Amino acid sequence: MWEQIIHTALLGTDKLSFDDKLLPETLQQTLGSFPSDDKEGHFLKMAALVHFYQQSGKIPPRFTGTLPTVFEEETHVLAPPKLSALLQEIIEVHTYYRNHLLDLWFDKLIANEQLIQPAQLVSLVMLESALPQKFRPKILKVIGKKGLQILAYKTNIESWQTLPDELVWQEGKLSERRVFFTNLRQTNPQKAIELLQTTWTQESLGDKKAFLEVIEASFQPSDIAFLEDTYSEFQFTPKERKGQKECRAIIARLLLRDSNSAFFQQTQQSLLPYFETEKGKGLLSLAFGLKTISLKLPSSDDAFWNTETMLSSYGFEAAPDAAIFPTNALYWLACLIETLPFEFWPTHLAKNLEESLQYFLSEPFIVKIEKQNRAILKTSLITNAQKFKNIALAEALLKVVDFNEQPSLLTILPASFCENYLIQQKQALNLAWLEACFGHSSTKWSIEFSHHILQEAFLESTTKNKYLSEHIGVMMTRYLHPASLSFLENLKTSPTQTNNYYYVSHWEKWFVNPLHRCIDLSTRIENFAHQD
Amino acid sequence: MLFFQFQKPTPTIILNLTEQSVETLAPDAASLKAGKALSNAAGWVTISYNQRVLWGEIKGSGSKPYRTQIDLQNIAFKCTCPSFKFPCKHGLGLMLAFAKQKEAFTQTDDEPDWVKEWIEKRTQKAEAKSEAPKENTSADEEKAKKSKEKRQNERLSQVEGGVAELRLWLKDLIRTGLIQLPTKERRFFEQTAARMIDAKASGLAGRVRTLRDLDYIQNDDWQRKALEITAELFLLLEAFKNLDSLPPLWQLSVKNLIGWSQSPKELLQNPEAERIKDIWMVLGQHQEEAEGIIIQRNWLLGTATDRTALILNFGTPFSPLENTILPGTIIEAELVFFPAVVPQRATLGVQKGFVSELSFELNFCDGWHEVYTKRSQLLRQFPFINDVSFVIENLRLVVENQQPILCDQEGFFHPIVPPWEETKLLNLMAFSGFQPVTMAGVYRQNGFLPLGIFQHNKYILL
Repeated sequence: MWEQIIHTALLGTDKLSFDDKLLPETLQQTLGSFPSDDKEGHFLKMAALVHFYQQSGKIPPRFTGTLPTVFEEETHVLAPPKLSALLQEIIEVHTYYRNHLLDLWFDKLIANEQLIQPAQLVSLVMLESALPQKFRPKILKVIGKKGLQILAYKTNIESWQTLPDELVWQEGKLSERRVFFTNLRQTNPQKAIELLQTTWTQESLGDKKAFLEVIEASFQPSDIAFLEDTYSEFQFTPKERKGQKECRAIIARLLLRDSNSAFFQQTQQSLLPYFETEKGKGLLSLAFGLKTISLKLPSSDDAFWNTETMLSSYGFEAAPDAAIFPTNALYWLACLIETLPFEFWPTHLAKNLEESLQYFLSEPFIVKIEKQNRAILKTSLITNAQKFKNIALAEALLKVVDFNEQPSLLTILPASFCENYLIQQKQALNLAWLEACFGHSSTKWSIEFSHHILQEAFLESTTKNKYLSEHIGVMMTRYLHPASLSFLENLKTSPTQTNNYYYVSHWEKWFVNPLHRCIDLSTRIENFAHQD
Repeated sequence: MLFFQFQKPTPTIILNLTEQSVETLAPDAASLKAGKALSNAAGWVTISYNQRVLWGEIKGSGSKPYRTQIDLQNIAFKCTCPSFKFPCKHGLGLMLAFAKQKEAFTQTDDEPDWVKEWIEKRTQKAEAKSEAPKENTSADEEKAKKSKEKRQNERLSQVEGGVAELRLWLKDLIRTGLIQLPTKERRFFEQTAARMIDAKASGLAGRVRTLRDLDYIQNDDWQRKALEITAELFLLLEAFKNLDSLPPLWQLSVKNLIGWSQSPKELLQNPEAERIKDIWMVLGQHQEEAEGIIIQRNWLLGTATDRTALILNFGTPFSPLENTILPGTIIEAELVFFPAVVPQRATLGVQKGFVSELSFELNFCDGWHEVYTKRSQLLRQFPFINDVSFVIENLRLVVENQQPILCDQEGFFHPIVPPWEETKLLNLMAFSGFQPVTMAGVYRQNGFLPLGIFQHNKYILL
């Protein structure tokens, strides 16, 4: 009936009419008691009557689909509401500071084996798309089964799915396998090597290189046996693929790191003839018959320093820039300095570390480029200190390298050394230096250094009228000693020596307020014990 | 989310504000953000409260700290800052700080003079508001009466003109067929709506605009909806045509639908108006903007009387809403109802304050069948009734082809009103976990608008 009425209404009463006799008798009677002047009025009255008649007698439709799964049991217990609710406060913090606080918050929940409260679930799900992908595994750990249902509604959760550990190695993509292998190397390096050996022969050249790079980044002396076994697989062949040479170079570098490896011994034997003993040239040397040992490199290819040996044994190419390395031998020496443990050189040069360093930074390893003397082995020495985390070498190098080269050495030096060095060098507000010193660490600064950097930043902003990079503020929120907040308070209340509102407000906006907020939040997160 | 117990009565606790309820008071997102930045109690010079008022001082850009005060009994703000926003960021910040860190506030009945002064003024004003209007002389009264009658007659004749025009428009539409509607330009509807506005029949203009706003492209359902709107509108015009023969309450209700407005001020001064004292749950709030007017709807439920009420607030971009109701809270108040065939709309009379814990039994519907039956009874009383609030037990959220629906235990379902905010849907998922819950909401013709759920002795606002 209603369908027919709609049909009539669509075509219009000029073209079609509706027969009232199709209506139920009661409706016909009601309609009859309200006469109309014209057929349009009559039709509209009738339609209204039928519409309300239907509405009054309407019954709800029945659901015939499948009801969603209800999870009675969750994976973990819910976190205390106050810990869970910290998410809201973290979200409100400027994005510069947010991710670090989120990391702390997630790690606390995961360590406590707790799930977030439903009240925060939606905030987290909505925030997810604005977060880096590294947070995904953490999100999955704290939302539980119900949270996963919501996440599946909001986002394409399938793209989040990772293979279970037991399948990753067999079926995963290279990126997944690489992550898995890296993680395993951190927890059980030997097991990682054993796993790699099970599939080594089926791996492609590119994949092999990727896994060798992981081994290089997490080298252990116990890797030597595996590396010695595989070294021959990448032996030099004419027209070899680039990956072949790169794999050989990685393995050679790794074998040279261990003085017990046969490859190291063999290299040592090859190098020994080039250490030559000479009579000293100074007055004292002549008087006491002192002798010095130096490294004599050939000016042209010989039995060891030649293109074929270097390429086939070590994966070293010829010198890329003749202006810097006048001979190939000098370039290959630079490569070996990067690769061999630095102790090798003092032993054979019969010098201590500083003397050896001085030796490599002076003639004959100096070239003149654009009227300036340049120590061509300096970069290799810095790389060696970084690679072997050789603190003594790094400290010695710090005294002789240029200002711009110092941050790369600071990365391996202990935080306490860095703090003193930054104060001494007046670089406490140098962002590159700060990042080099502390960027890789999670340890808080000492109270003394915290006070120093706060004082410096305050003076810089309010007295010298300089805009400090807000990234220094970000670093401060991560590393400042929590007890230094009272010092910050005193700075805030001390009379500023500037009248410039913009500098003071910059200091307040990017330093004082976020520092208070972030340190307060991180302290509150850390103070939540498991039983809270 | 808002939480409060509703089992044990503890009248000594005056207020249980949550951040979510305070956020609804913000005039805009920027004010809310600024307010949140000031919501740390430590940032305030002084912060105190008592049962009636909340006050604090905060350092601003001026030489003296700003003084901010909030009337907790009848929500109102005052601040000495120069902001033109209402409430300002200081008012919001103070209230948010109270919601988050109540323990940081000093509880004292010893209010400073500047607080006392303001509260006294407000009390006097409220008393004056509820008093009967001043008695005029008989000559003045006669003059005012004549003038009012004249205005009413003028308006009536204007509306009658508009109604006649609209009747013709509807008849033309139905004669030539609704099939032409998708091809009509916006102007076709807008011209008629504008004519109704000129004829002082804004309610009719609104109904013409619903016809304009139908989705003629994506959905074939427009055919049914267009006929329903057209037929209902015609019936309303017929009711107006026979206005004199209708009972007085019907006359009022029909006139309201046509566009006669009702004044809360006059209502409060009317001694014959229906007044109901109760402890009211503010089930939820919904705000929408139409033709430059912001309409805020607040649905309340009387916990002792089981009576439902709708409080409307209106605002424009230039005159913000006077927001005095916090969704999710329980208030002890007297509501004054506008006379109607089915009285639903009310205004806040005397408010005694907030109740944070309460024990009461609500008359929940046990499923959609009961809701449909109750609605039929209301339709029988007044066919133009639309929004009706209900509390329904054991509703389960199901999402079928991206369309959320609510299933009851008997297997009946009703769709959620489209478009519903995604965050609210996700909130419902998060709190219910797809399990059956007791839900408060508003039944509309095109779907159910969920407002909140009862869970573990708490009311959670969606």
